[in-house]
Amino acid sequence: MKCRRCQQKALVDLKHHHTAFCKECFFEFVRRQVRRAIQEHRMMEQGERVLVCVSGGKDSLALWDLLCNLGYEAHGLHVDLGIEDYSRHSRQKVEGFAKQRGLTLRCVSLEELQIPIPLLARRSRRPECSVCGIVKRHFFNKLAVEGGYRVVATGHNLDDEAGRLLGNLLHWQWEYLLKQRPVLEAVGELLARKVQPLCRLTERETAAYAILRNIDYVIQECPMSRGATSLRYKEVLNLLEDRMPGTKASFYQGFLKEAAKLLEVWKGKQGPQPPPEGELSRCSLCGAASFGDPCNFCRLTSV
Amino acid sequence: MIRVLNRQTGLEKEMDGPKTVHELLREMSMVEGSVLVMRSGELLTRDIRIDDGDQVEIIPVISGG
Repeated sequence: MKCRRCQQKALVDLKHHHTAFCKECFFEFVRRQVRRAIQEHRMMEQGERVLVCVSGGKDSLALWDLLCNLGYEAHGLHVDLGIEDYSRHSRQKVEGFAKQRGLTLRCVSLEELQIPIPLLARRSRRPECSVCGIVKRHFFNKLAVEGGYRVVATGHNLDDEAGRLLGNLLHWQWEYLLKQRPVLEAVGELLARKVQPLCRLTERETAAYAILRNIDYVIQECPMSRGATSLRYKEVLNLLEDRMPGTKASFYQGFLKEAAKLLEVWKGKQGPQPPPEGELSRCSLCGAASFGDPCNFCRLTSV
Repeated sequence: MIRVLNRQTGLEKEMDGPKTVHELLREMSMVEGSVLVMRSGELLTRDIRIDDGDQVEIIPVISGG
């Protein structure tokens, strides 16, 4: 296969775009997709200061690399989850990435705080992935607000969001469907804006980008995520994508276009009403933004 | 024979060559969108032929939890 743009030997073929690219043209393709997502969804202003949540995996490190390349003042935040070798390995990758490029990184160690994920999951009898989500969201927002960052960026990609959409639809999770957007706006000084600049790129594309950019990322999966339903949804979508290239993108992009209409139905008298949500205020224990008091994080860590 | 190494699991397998990347993945019941294939540090498109004596790496790309 030859590169569509320059006719050199292609290294990455993209079935759903009916095309293939050489290394440099693929980088340009990826940057264009990220720029488009940022502009289309008004994620942030050019050159804005942004806190990037980095796990050590391909997506978050590729995102950090891309945002720096696109001219954003991107600082990293890593939450060391305290999941034995996996977390040690992940932290090494993130620290190595930051050091090599001279980037600002902040690490929070759950082991040092005596709240590693396996312990919290055991104590609260909740699934590890659910506990992990609560803890990460807590620190991402807390440190963003404390550090004066208006924007928090995560490495969620097209596969993540299409898989999540499938799960939300299969179980008719209306309230989650309405919150599934690549941008969640800031709320006053309490909640930073959350953005997903990789939402137009597939997991395979971010992996290819990371490899071609020589980004040393963690290939091993989190041992806690084995058998997770989110992985099953992704598998199903990849089977469909294999037979009908473009399915994932049209599924998710179509949802984003139609979601506004869905919202109108929801809010109107014809549709089911969303559950009432409490007012956003500060948790009386930790001071973090929360719809309840104490916040989910404090409830979890004080079990 | 083609030596196939899965970089995530560390498992190795041998297969008869020659075959294209597309054929190799089909025989391994793998979906193209969920992996990348490399040979000698270079990413391969699905039309590339892999010969006997070649060693390729399969890199699964699906992650999450």
